[in-house]
Amino acid sequence: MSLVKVGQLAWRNLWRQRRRNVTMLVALSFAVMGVVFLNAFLRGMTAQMADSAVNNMQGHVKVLQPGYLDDPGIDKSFVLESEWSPEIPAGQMQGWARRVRVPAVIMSERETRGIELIGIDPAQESISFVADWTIEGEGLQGPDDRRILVGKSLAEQLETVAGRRLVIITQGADGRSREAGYRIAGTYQSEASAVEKLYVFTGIEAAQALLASDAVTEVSVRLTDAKHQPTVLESLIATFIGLNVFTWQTLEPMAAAMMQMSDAMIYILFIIIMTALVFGLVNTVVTAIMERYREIGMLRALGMRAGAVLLQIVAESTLIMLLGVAIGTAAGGGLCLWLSDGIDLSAFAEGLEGFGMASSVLVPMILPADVVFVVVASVVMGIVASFFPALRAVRLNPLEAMRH
Amino acid sequence: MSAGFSLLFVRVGWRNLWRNRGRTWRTAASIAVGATIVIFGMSVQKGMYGDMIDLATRLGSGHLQVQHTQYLDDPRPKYLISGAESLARQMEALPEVAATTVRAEAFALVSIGEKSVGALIQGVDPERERVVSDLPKSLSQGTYLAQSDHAYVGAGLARNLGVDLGDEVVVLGTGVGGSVAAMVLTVGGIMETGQSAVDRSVLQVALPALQAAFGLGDGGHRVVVNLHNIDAIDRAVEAIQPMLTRGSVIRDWKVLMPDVDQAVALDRVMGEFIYVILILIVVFNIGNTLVITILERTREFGLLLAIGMRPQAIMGMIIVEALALWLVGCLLAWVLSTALLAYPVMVGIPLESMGVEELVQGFGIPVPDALYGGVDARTVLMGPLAIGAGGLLASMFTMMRIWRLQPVEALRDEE
Repeated sequence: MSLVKVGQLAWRNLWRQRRRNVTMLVALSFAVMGVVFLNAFLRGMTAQMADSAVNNMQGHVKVLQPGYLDDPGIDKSFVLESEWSPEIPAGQMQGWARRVRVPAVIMSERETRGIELIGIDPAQESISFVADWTIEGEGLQGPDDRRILVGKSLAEQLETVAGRRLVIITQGADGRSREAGYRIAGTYQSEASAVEKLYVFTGIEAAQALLASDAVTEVSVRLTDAKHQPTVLESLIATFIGLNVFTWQTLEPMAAAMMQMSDAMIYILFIIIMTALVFGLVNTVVTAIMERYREIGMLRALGMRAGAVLLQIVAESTLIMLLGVAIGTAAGGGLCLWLSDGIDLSAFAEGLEGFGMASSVLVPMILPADVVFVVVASVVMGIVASFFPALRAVRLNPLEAMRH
Repeated sequence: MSAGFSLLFVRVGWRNLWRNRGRTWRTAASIAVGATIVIFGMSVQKGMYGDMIDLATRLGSGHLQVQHTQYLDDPRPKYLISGAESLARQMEALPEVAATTVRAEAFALVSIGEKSVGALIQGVDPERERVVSDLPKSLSQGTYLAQSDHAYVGAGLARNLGVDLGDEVVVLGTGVGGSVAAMVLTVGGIMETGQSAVDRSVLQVALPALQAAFGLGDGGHRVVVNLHNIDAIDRAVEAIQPMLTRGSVIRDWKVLMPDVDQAVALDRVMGEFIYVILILIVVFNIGNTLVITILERTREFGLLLAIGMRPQAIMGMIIVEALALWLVGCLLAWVLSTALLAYPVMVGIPLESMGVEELVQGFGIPVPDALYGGVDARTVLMGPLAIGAGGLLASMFTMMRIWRLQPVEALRDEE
């Protein structure tokens, strides 16, 4: 029997037994859709974890003076030329920021707290979570803005509000203590109250004026894709000789370890989900074929050769599998596209409402390699799954099979 | 319906299962495998989530802490729990409690020669601290508080001070009554936790030394409690509440580490999402298997109708069959998942095999060596129940057509 004939027969059979095949098709597409979506969901989850570390003022790569991490202060700083910007190929860098970060003490009429004073150029902070915050009052207007931006929790502790004044005391470049009064431009609300209590922002030039220095304590670079990290790291090491150039993984080993751990979890979950998918495919296909023993016996009794019957059944399964995988992949992809603004997880859990938007919204991320894997694995498993029960069926004595 | 009648369709259903043993085992096996996948997946996920809390609480907070009501917002030495040690012993007698320890804290200047650096001085009970927290494990050089005048110093703090093992440092602070508190300590060990905030600011000493120097008497600032099982946290809090004196309060890890709580909450929502999709895939698939099986039996139903069996009796028969299959499938699933989960629950899936170790080494970060499975009623029951409900619904829905079925046509059904 020619292959064309086999294909024709298989195609006709699919239409003849519409009821069963539609049920099968729906189950297959649904399983594939679920896996494609879940996979994108898990990928989105890890991407977001990395993102939140990068967002937390780390960037992908950061330049620091040696010793700054152990003992942060303006004495561990370096000078940038006025028109300096990182030499990174366009398209690889999302942005960069220069900052002055020093420990300081902040005082209101009532309370005193230890904080970190961060001088920023607001225009550069699109690379960190500063850009995502909701601000009550006004934000900082430029590098020379002499006002401060404080966290909402800190403002509450200090019993103060936007428009009032606070005093900041810190150690200047000469090692002497310096203090100055600042007006509060606004209060910001972040995801974590720990951040709100610690970080106080002002214009970078205002911070340098207070510290009597024209240096910065860090340069942070955010890339468009984490895969450029090694090359950018190398090029910055070559530029900043004598300084420390670190990746966020080095700066936040705990977060990096956590992320690796969750990567491992995702790996396990993916295996479990793939098992569910393969089980679903095999189960559906095997059930469908086992129910057809009678028909197979009939075909054999009519004189169709075993090889041809086998080929026909496998061809049928392959067709339906391809169709199911195509529909499922399209539906899964469509679902991800539809949710590309992100899934707001806070809607599903108590206790997340107070949480900043950025980190409770998860954007599914489709990786072509994952989809190819799911598609190939499904089709191959489907064919293998149909082969063995079909083989068993054609090996049966036709009479026996018909009595089934 | 008379008793005899209902027995009839139970009997027919039962016989059907035995008549077509191949199909029965196949369907039961698919239910079993589906349920096992869900049980396994949920248990692994739950174990991971448990690990996260465990890991975070072992950084020092413990599961629960008794503190002075003011201490969380305003950590001043005067906000003490007096008689902390006896309270700890009293709590240790509770069945839920695994371990306790008492800590006292004070901010002070640590100096050597001309150089001074501010630090958080923690007074701890070395033996019990080892059980409750992972900080002692972050030892990179020397010993952990082997002698009463030893200091266990963060690596960053040690570098800032320029001290090494065996050097003598002076701690100067303000005691409870406003008096000057001073201690002379020998650097006995250096810790490297990988968290720069801890490494550059924490110095641990033996509790009695700190209590004596800062005039704390027998008081401490945190009585740390670890439980055998974190799920029993509400019961433990209830049992501890009556032991507290006025002015002290019991706080759980969620209050002590709100950020971890948020991360865990987020993780849990994502976990739920994963469960739901996993369960949907499996339930849909098993429903589909049952539907195909029922559709194939149209001829048989036609025959039953033709010899006078009522549609509702046939429906009853299918429900009996489905329930029996489900029960057998679930029993198999529990056996199977017990076998499968024995390894991850008891031994754990080594993280090393997944490339995590590499990063953990060299930082002394207390990451568990393995992921463990977690089993509770929910992980064991949710999959089987969802499959049972979904399968029953799918069967009943497909069987609805029995009322419209013409016996003669059904007998001619080819499929």
